[in-house]
Amino acid sequence: MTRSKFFTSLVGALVLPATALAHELVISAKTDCDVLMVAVTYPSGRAVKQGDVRVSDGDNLLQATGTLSSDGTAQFELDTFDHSGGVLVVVQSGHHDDYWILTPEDIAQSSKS
Amino acid sequence: MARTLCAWTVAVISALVPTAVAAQVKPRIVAVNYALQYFTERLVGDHAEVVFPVPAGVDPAFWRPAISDISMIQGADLIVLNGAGFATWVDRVSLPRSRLVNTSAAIEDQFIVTERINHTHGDGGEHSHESLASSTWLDPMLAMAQADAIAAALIRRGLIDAEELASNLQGLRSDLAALNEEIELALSGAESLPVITTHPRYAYVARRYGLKAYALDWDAGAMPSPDQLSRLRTLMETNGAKILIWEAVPPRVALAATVDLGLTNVIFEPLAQTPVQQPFIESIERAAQGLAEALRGQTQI
Repeated sequence: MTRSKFFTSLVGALVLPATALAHELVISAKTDCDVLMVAVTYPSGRAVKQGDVRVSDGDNLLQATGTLSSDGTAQFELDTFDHSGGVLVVVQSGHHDDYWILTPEDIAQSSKS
Repeated sequence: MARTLCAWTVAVISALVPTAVAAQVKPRIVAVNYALQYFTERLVGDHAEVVFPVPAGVDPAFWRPAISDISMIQGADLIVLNGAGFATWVDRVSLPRSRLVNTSAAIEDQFIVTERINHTHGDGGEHSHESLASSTWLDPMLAMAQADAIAAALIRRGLIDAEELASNLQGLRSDLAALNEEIELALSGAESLPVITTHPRYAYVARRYGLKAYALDWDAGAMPSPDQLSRLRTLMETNGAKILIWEAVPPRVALAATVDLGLTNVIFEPLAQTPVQQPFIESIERAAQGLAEALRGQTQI
């Protein structure tokens, strides 16, 4: 899957009700069996081009760090850290920061699909 | 290696699921705030366990759940959301659409916009932020609509018999209607009187009963800083308000400071978090009575 297709599918796959968006980023993350994929936009839908990404495990211990690419995405190899208890993805870009939680069930579900 | 681990993870979780289901005696419903938990419990009775997962002392609007909390919530039979931008965490996790109910979906045309800011920074270009008042449940008539939405979801999910639910819903609606009448009566004659609130949570209740509310943004139950007291004094001078509504009982010295400014203090718990003393209806009744007494002191109503 190309990055642009991934980005589009990830944002489109959100299964949440529409809510008021305040001063925040819109983060979404998913896994396949090999990779944790993160996509970040502003509430307007524009990709966030710069930002730091931190990935923590179920015990809130930092497992990986990275930066956003110019298309607002980042990827992490899953076999480089423990994700059995789920992951917490935190993105900071300028004054904005936000998070996304993937539970073990989310990870298992996306592994099956 | 990664594929093996992945398959292993799936196998382990699949093996755990039947155990969890078997151990769960009652269906589980998760509500994002106390008010919705109260409504849901009134409606579903003992047919389900209604969980409000936010710890005491934490504002449910800004609660940041742990991964294990989200696992529990994802497994619930029904997830009762408030909507109106309440509970920021719901936008940061995957929730099962078929088991969600947005209790304010039918009243979106009655939402109150509290803030709209346009600005530019970073690489985001010019953008705007809009905030909604989210404490819809403090208006008994909006609360009634939210209870209706929960009732419909309980039926849709098959969590209670329709006849029993109808009776429970009638009881809750009746209590909310009586509460509305009681507040209307208590505050009659006091319309348009200015009040200051320590937090912008009272927009819906102020609109319903015609109060002119001027909101500060103080932490619940905390001692205001000198700057905050200065801002309070300015608000008093500009709008003539003599009543201050607190979310929680502040330190004694804070009450004394505001009394010295000439204010009458009223405690009105916003009921997003579990109230300290009384359940939903009684808590609002008590707050409304306190507010009525304070208003009566000003207007001789």
